[in-house]
Parts: sequence; structure tokens; C-alpha cells
Amino acid sequence: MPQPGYRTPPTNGLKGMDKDLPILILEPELTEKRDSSARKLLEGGQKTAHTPETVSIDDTKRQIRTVREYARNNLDLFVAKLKTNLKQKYPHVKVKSARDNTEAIEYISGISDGLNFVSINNSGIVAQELRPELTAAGFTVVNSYLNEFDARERSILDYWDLPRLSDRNLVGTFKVSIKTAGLDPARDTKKYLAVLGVNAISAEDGTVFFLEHFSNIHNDLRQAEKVILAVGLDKIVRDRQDATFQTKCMGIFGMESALLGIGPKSGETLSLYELGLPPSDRTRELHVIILDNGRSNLLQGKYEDLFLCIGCRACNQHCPIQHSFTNVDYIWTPRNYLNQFLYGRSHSIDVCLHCEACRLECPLDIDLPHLMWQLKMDYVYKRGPSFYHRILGRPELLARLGTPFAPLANRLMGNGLIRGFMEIITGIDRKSTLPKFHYQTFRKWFRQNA
Amino acid sequence: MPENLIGDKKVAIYTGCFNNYYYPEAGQAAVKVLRKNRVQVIVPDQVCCGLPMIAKGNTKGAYKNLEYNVNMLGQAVADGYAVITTCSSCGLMIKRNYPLLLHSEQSSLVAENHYHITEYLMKLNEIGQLDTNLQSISQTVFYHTPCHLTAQQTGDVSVEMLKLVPGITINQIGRECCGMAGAYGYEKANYTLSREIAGKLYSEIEENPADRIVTDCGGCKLQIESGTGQKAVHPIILLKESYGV
Repeated sequence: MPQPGYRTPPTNGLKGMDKDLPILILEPELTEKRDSSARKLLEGGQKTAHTPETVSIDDTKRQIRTVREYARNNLDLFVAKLKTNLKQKYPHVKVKSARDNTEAIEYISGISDGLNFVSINNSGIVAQELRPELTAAGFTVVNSYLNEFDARERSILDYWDLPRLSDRNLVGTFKVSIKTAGLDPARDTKKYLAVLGVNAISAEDGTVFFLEHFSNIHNDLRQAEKVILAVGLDKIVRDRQDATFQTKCMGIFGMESALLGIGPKSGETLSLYELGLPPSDRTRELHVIILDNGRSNLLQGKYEDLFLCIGCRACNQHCPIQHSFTNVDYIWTPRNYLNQFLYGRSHSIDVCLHCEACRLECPLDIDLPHLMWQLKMDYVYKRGPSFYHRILGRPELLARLGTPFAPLANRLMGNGLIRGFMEIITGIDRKSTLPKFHYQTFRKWFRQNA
Repeated sequence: MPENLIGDKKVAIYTGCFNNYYYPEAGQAAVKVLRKNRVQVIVPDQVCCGLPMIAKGNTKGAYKNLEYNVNMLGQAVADGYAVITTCSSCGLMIKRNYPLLLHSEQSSLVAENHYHITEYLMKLNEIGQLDTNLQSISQTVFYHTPCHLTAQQTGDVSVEMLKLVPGITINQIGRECCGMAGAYGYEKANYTLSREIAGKLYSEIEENPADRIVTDCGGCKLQIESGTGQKAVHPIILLKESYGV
């Protein structure tokens, strides 16, 4: 019996293939407007209007946690199952297991067959992990997602304009529709490669799931001569039902992040569609790269919760420092920032304010602030704290030193020369306003008034 | 156990560094308010909560402090005292991070019996034990919610408490980060970014002028005062004023 929410994938697809690998694209539905109209009708006395029930955030969070934990705890089994299923059911699909980026890029170079242009989607696995090395290998890489919107100005100016997770009405974003099922016939194939990070894949039957806000994935599946599906180990789940739910959650919890990212294109954005690539007359190919790239290592230690991440980027939504990191060569999110440090691609873990907004927004309750601290502690254990932090890491000592000489210490703190000297020694900016010492501390006062 | 400790009206105040050395008025107000409500108050021996120490990589020192505080506060809880903080960052450290970092039964016990001062007072109010004989303060208030109070996930406890004071009108409830984060905003490396983050808050304050700016966090207080030139006070100060103690 077909599961609810599915259409039977059409039989058409890649040229010369007996049976298509089902690739489903889910698209968030704009139900909010419809629901509010329904509510208005209802309030106006028209009882026939249908008002959907509000979906509980807590229930959704619990469900996605169960799906992810099950996938994490059965990873080896699911990887083996997926490989066997792909091999047996879809022999035309070429499957490669890559330990790291290097192996993945070697494989892509090997099958590229002279194709030089690569279209990618905006998933972390390609836009962040594979992109730099694809470029280094000589490919011209285009993030086609960024060409999909042509906003003259940013409509969501700031995360302040967006609701927090706890303030949201999930009815508005929970519904999704299947935009396509399977691949369109290859009528206008063009000479380029598409490397697309998938949102979920079912180990049980190999069904691939994408979440799409625009039409870039659909276009690439229709047009690219060679389609390479990049599957992170963390995207492999038990079955279609779990894969659908995981992809839906990307849509639910990642909606605001998608909105935040919509703004005017940067001047450098290249569009594959405007390049006028020549048509291809070769047989289309479908490849699947199952990429580890450090993911299985996460399962060994303290950072195993990171494996649960679905990549929705909700952690970014209320991060106060997100605006300052638009120029980094990876997609800024607190989770990615942590990853960069964890994998030795960045040397700083100190820009996090530890406001904990990322933890509160995460649908998986991944404790990013605690993991940041864990990383910091591990780093300090190996390397020691920085010179400045050796001083600032003893706040009470500094307070105790100033208190007995409070009036004098406060006067000195107002002296520019002293502050300049202090800036050199402690790294405390001379412009910052420091608190005033009190000769009578609270505890002293309490003893006197006990 | 926590509900019983509320009813027992015995509290152990953990002041933290900021409210001990730089803003003793907050702790003093808390003691006066608690005594007005016939709550028995003790201040156990204590050291820095460890949060700024871990943030700056002094792990060894921080763990020493964590253990010391948990030992002292654990003793107080065992004697029937609820643990109260006036600083939302120290509070978050005790409520959430102590058990995560120490993995001990005693740290969990302390965490379970910890309350932010306004949270405690609202719980007293729930059981009808809060003196609501308050004098009117005819003032408008801009309340800024510290991130670390939001992260305690106990709701708008300070706003609820302020609403008990007759005459107070809350003009605006600010909810976004002030960018200070302890010593983060002092550091030369972060100063510009910290002020940039605070920019939004400054505009919000300017757009919603009020007689008083109120916040529970010392770092937020400093950041607000340095950027707006206006004084920011702890919500407990307003309750103290309303009691006239």
C-alpha cells in the first residue's frame, strides 16, 4: 500500500535506464495565508471553513530526535543496506563510497569526461565541503540556488524580524507538497555536471529526498548531463517515512534561515543558464557518492550529538554574530563555525558569545554552546590559554585587587594612559566602559547586616 | 522537593562577582525584599561561578570553583535552603552547566533547587506567600531580557514581577542579545563587533523611551549604560522601592 504523501514515481527518467532511482523533491507550501483566510471565514460564521490543527513543536522535536538517533545508532547497518539496495535495484546508478573530500573529488574528476562546469545546490555537503576542492581541481563551480532569487533588496532585514521557535505557529510551515517525483525525460540535456547534496535517503529502498525552495534542483535533475548525488553519512535514514519526515523538518525549521539568505545577488554570481551551455548528446549518468568526511569520527566521542544535525540552519536564526560572518568561505552557522574548528579548518573558537540562542532554536536540542565549551576546554588543555585570557580568566582576582582601593582604582580606570597600558597587558579595549569597584561589597554589607 | 523549599521560605543567596564587587545594590535589594516577605536569608561562602573562567580558558581554576560552590550550596540545599541568584549568568551556570560539567548528584540537586530571584518571588506569589502590599511607582519601563535569563527557560519572570508593582507601565520588552557577554565586549578583539550587536538594542531603547531601563544582567547593564548614557537597574530594585524598604 502506498504510504500517505507519495505519488508513484513516474517511469520516465534517465535515457536508457530500465528503472529510475526515485528522487523526490519536497517543497514547503505557503499554507499560512490559506490558514489565516480559513480562520477569518470561521470567525465570520462560515463554519464550513477548514482550520488545520496546530502542530505541536515539542512533538515534532521528539519525533525528529527519534528518527535521527535511530539513524545514528544503526549507521553501519543502514550504509550497508543502502549500498546493496542501490546495487541490486538500480544497477545503472554508480555508487562510490568516499572516505574524504579528496576521494570524492578524485572520483568526480575521473567521471567528468571533459565537463568543466559544475552546478551545486546550497546544501552544506557541497556548498561548504566539496566546493573549495572542486574549484581547486579546476572546475567552474556555480551555486545555482543563489541564481534563483532576484531580490532588489533584502526583505528580511534582520533576525529580529523573525519569530523565535517558541513563538511560531507551526501550522504555517509544516505542510509540504511533492513538487516532482523521479526525473523528467532528458529532452534538453546540457553539458555540465550537477553535484547535489541530498537532504535524506532511505536505506530501505534508496529513495532520495530533496527540499527545494526554488527550482534549481529540479532544473539540474532535468538538464545536467551527469548528476552526482552527494550523500553524507548523516543523511541515511531507515526508510521513506523517516526520510520524508527529516526532509520536512528541514523545511519547517529551516524556513527562516532560507528567508534570511534571500537578498540581492553579489556581482560575482554566475548563472549556468545564462552561459548558453551546448546541448549534450551523450547518455546521461547518475552517480551517488556516499561521503564520510569526518562524520563517522563524530560517533566516537563527545561530539556525537553533532551527527544528529539535519542541517536546517535554525541555529543561525537568532545568532547575534551571524551578520559579521557573511564573508567567510563557508556557510556561516554556529554549527558550521564549530565544525570548522573541530576539523582544524579554523583557529578560533572565541567569537561565540554563548548567548545560547542556537540551543534554544535547535529542533534536535543539540547543545552547541556546551560543545563549544568542550572544544575550548580540549583546545586549552593541549595548547594553553592565550596571554590575554590568562589574565581575564581570573575575574575574581582582578575584582579583589581593586576593591580595597576602590576610589583610587576607579580614578585610575578613567585615566587614558593607564587604560592604554592596560590594553597592551590585558587586551581590554581602552574605549570600553568598566564597572566601578565598591569598597563595601555585597557580602561585606550582608555580614554587617546579618 | 523544590516546591517544599519555596514554601519553607529559606534561601541561600549566590551573589556572583558582578553583584558582589560592582553592583552590591542588587543583592542588598534582594535581601531587603526577601526579609520583607519573611524569608530567612543566608549567604554561604562562595567563589566566582566559573563561567568567565571557562570562557577564557581557565578550565582548571573553573572546575575548582565549581566544586567549591556546589559543595557549599549543596550543603545549604541539604539544610532546606533554596539557591537564589540575582545575576542571570551565574544562575544559568548553576542551573544548567554545573550538572553538565560536573556530572554529580550534588550539582544536580543544587541545579534543581536554584531560582532566579524574580522566579522565586513569583513562585512565592503563586502560593500566596508574597506580600503584595506595594506602593505605586508611576513610571514607564523598558525591560531588556538577558540572553542567559531566556536560556534558563523559566519564562518572563522578571516582567511578571514588575507587573505586580502598581503604576508601572512596561513600554517595551527587549529580547535580543546586547553583545556584551561578560568580558567579551571589553576585549579589543571583540569591542567593535560587540558594539555593533548592541546597536539594535540602542535603537530600540531610543524608539521606546521610558523612565527606567531595567535588566537582570550586569553585562547588559554596562552595555546599555555606556551606549545610551542612561542608567539601567536590576528589577529587584524596583520591587524594593515599591515596598519602601
